[in-house]
Amino acid sequence: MKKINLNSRKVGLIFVMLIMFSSFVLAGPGVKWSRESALVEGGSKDCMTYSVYNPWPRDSFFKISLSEDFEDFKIFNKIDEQFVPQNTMSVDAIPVEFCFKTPKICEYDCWLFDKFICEQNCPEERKEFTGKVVVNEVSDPALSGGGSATRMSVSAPLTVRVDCVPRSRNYSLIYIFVVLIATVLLVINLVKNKKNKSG
Amino acid sequence: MVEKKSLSWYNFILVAVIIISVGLIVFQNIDSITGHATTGSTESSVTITQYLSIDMSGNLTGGISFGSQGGLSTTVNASENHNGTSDSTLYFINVSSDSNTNVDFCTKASGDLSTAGADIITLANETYSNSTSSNSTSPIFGDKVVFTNAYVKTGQNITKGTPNYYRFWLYLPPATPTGTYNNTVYFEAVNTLSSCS
Repeated sequence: MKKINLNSRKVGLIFVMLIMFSSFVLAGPGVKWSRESALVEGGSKDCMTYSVYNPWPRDSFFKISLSEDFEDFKIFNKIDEQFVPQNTMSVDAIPVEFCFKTPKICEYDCWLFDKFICEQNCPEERKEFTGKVVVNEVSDPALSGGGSATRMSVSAPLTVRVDCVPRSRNYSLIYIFVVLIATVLLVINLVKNKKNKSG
Repeated sequence: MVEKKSLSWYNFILVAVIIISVGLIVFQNIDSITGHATTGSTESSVTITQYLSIDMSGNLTGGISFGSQGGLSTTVNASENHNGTSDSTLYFINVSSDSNTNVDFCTKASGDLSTAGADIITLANETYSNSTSSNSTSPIFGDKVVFTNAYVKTGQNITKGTPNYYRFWLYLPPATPTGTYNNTVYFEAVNTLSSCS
């Protein structure tokens, strides 16, 4: 019975050491990219694909993010953390789609509720955001005691040019209203006409 | 008969108004209906595919420890600065041979080294030096630079399959309160054409 306890303790100890050891030796990140710029209309969504790989002999988890230069962008990460097994070479890199919504750089002059019958003006035709796409390894800092914990990442440059497209006032809501009224009047007339005929 | 004729004219005008209004709605929203915007909505500038990967040495992954120090007003070595063969450093970052671009390294620190009780050793006291080779003197103490809060380039144009070696030092100012001081140091690899920021 004692021997079993000892073995289970050993197994437990090995398990704890494995967990501790694994957090110490997560592999470094790798990034592969083929696009460094995008031209997107203000307020619209765009997606880019970056690939992550891990040529090192240890498994790892990576996370993709945009640098602070893109803080006005709304980020939609389909995958928060990507597991990349050991010895995943660049030819087998795992694609990670990364989506963002650009900020609106246009000015809107609206007649109704700040939302309808709007004219789109452009104080500046294009705004350029230059930064980087960062791939971080996901692990807890391994330092015990005093000093500096260390983190590593790789990054790819990215320039997003956000365009403002001027648009004349959109009167669609008024036209829809006119169509509705005309249709109602037409139906009333047709019904009246039918009643008169049958009467 | 006259009333009937005027009613049909009235209906005709209503139908015309409906048709014209629908036409105007289509005309005003033709871009969003057909998807043909007056200017391109997305454009990509494709360069050749680039890829790079890095990995820190086990000792650097484990953090930069300056050990337990008693004396103040002195500059201390990080624990693995001279623990390699021939007194070399065990702090290095490898650039994978499975990369197709040379690499520049950027480094920064999270801020001052601080204790849980908010005592600090200012970041200006933490320094580093880098080199593409290592022996008892290289990376050289005399080339040491101070860590900053923002990324700055350190090792530059490091070719694939080679390491970038580092040494770290910490000056312990006089009257530093006792305690365990910590911060985080970041290393980021970029292709040599890119800036750190």
